[in-house]
Amino acid sequence: MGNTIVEFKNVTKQYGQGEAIQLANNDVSFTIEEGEFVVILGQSGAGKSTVLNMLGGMDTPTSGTITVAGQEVSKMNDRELSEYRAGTIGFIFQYYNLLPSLTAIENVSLVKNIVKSGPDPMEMLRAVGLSDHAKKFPSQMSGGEQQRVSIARALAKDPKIILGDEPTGALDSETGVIVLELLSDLSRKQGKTVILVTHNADIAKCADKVIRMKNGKIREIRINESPVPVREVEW
Amino acid sequence: MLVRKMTREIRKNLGQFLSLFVLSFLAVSLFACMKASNISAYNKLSDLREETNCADGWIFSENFSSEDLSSVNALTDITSAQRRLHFTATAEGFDQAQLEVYGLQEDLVSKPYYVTGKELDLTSKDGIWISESFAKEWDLKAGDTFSFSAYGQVLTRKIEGTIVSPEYQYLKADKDLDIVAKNIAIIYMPVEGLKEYFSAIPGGIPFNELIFTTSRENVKSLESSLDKALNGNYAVICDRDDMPGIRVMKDELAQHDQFAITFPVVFLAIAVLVIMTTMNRMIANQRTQIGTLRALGMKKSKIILHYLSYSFIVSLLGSVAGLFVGTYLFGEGIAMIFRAWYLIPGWTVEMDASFLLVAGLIVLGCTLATYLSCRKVMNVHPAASLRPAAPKSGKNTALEKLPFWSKLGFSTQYNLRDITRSKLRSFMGVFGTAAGMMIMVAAMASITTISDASSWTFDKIQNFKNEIDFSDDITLDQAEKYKEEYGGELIQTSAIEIAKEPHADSSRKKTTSLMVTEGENYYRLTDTDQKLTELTPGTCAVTMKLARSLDIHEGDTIYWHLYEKNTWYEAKVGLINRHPNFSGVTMLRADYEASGAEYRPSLLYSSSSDIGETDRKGILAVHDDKDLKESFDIMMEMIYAMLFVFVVFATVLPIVVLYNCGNLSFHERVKEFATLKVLGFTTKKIRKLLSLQNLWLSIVGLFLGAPFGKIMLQYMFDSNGDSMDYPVSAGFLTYLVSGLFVMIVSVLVSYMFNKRIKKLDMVETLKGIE
Repeated sequence: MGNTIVEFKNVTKQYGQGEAIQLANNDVSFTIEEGEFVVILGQSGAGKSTVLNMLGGMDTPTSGTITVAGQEVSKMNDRELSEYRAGTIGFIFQYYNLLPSLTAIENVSLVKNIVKSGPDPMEMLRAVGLSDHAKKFPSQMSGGEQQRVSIARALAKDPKIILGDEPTGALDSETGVIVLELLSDLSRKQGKTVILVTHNADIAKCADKVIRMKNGKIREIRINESPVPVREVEW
Repeated sequence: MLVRKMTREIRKNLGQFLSLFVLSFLAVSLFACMKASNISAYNKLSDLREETNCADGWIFSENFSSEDLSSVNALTDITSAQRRLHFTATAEGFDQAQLEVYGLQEDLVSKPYYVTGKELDLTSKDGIWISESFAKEWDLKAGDTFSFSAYGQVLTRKIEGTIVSPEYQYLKADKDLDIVAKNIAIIYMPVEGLKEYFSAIPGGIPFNELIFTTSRENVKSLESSLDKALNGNYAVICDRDDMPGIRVMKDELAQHDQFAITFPVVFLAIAVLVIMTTMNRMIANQRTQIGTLRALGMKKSKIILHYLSYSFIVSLLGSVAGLFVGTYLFGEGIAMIFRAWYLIPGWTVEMDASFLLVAGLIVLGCTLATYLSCRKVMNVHPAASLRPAAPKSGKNTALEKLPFWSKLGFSTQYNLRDITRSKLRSFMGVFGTAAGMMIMVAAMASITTISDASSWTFDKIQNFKNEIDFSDDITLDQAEKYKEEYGGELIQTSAIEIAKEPHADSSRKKTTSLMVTEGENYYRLTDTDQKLTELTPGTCAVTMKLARSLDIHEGDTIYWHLYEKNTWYEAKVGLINRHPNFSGVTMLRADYEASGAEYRPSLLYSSSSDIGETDRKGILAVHDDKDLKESFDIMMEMIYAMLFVFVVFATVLPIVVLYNCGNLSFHERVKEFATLKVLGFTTKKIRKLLSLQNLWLSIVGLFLGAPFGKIMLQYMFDSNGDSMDYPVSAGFLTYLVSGLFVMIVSVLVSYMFNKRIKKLDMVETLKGIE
């Protein structure tokens, strides 16, 4: 493991005003090292997605600082956030969010509009095992295949950090394992920092670090000395 | 509860529902504004005709005797008849205005409608009744004296009242191209006041018109019985459609009736497109809500009714607002403009049952479009509709087979596919911009067309400085002397009837004008390409529109007779020519004289810029080219007023339609845009992506709409009748300015989405399925 790549320092996020105030994150602090495979675990409403959204530059904290790869994300303006999302982050959604009118290869190539450098889109499709499906539209693929395209899309930007919001949430367990293995390999073999949000405690077994959240607060940060290989996990 | 749901959702989709309101408002208000003034015009015209016992038929001759009148009166279908004297005179002063004077012995048919002063007194020797429009222009009142010259003498009379003639809703001086109220008046006076002036003429007062009313619908069907009653002693029988004073107004009203249908249809078509796309999206978005309502046990009909109420209420509000604003604001505006040109006492605006019918049809059309949109979802089983709809399937478009497809950028490929997936929305975008472009081109081209017609007239056809109008009684010798003195070319203008066979009956002949020139190039002819040409001696020229209506071609023989005489002559057509404001036959003096008809010049086109004293025997009036150009200036003013209205529509249409397209496109792809934003696309890039499609649709609309602008304007000019031949000219600049205008609107509309993309909440958007 290397240097600290993510630092959350006393981050609070509140929604609404007056009596309707809702604290999604309450004084959240943690760090993540470069190349770590991290799982943020918690039940629905624990505030884990809020952490991920702020980390991904899709939302801003009410107070506290977020530093990613030396940049203070919590102070960025709209344009800087766009650049940050384009250059630093690769996001994987629960429902894949592929553009239905684009084929698999086009969905991956899409990011070349914002990041000129980085790996070849076809290579990325091959890396997720879908080079045969390059010309298929999302509606012609299974959920697992769509999620793998979405991973290929995230990788094509060559991001420093990959964020996944319940990436296996919409998949059956067999397909989920394939996707999860892909993500863990990114960390283990390619040294990418991978941060996943899930409510599934079994997935947490494969992580290097588990951040457990409840009611907007961090309950536990646990380093997994011997993570379980993905293939051995069942849910 | 559903009402609350509806009002909240209308508020949420305010943009689209506002467009629907605007479109139904425009459709109904356009109909109402065209129609309201028309209905009032028809009603007031009918009142006027009834009150004045307006003639149904006119018979012209050199003189009708009292026996002729008795014979006509004796015919069973004739309900009233009278003789009268009609001649043209010139005002002393008042810019030598043209006067149509009617000398009356009786006052039974086409009686004057009194506006101010006394009623007609047939025994009065020095009283005249003058038209209100003229009196108003020159501030003349009952009690004022008024002088005019006719038959070489000056008459001074007292104005006893101001009137409106039921035979002249349209009143235009011969020298004018369009209506200029101060240049022409109708005068009614008892023949008593004219007796001394006609005492020198053998036969006394020539009653050259016999007017009558009849119980028959078809006046021309009386031709044979009238012919018998008059022993053939007449030149021509006319009905109301032959009288320019009545016909021009009738044509104008018919044109408005036509516009009242055409414009609302265009707006209704766009409104239906907006509704279908809006409701399609709303219902697709609310699929699970509909499923829930049905699972809760709500009847299908109630749900359908709920969705129908959206467009029903909005289009109803728009239509009702359109009815009142269209009638009382726009309609009154139209009536006000046309009141200045056409003479119908009491003309304002009125509604009738057709208004409710049209408003009802617009509301029905909008509601029906909604029904078609919801029907699809209603047919899905409740359990199925509770699940989200299957994702839209991506499809390879035919364009992808193109060899350069893979070289197209992401934005291009993405938008091309989106267009093929949203055909209705794309069609709406193209249709709306095309309509906007069409209106804009028509507006811009109307300026160039009028200015072209002006230079066509003054740079090509008219090659003189002054027009000297002769009085009816000028002798040929006098006219020749003036020609010698001032230089120039003598012109005779006469009303004639022409046909492709001699003695043709009414259905196969046409009333038109004859212009006899001396071929000295002061008055020049232009061919069908508007190029200068000359008449070959021994042949005549027929104007293009007239030739087409009678199927006359170069080389044909035509037959003609002077309107007031019954002798037919023949002529060979050597040229089909064009003139913006003259319809008829042109021939050389030598050929005219060779035919045997009497040559009586009515004008002298002179190149002399200084005519000097014009108060000379035989000269009615002198008009310089500035006078003649005035009518074009007035027409231009009218075009500018119209242009403003056109530009408003040309702006509103693309804004409404492109905003809707952008809005729908934005809503349909909001999740995709949020994804792109997460991937790191900037607001600018996403806006470009969104506006690129609108830009394409605008460009396609632009090219599709452009040719129709010319067609529409030509149709509008042509609907003014055969006497106007204005070839619409739309040059590169017209298209460039119109295109730029529409494109600027399109680009500005795309900026309306800037804020929404910037504010797009990626987290919220990507969270839910709906």
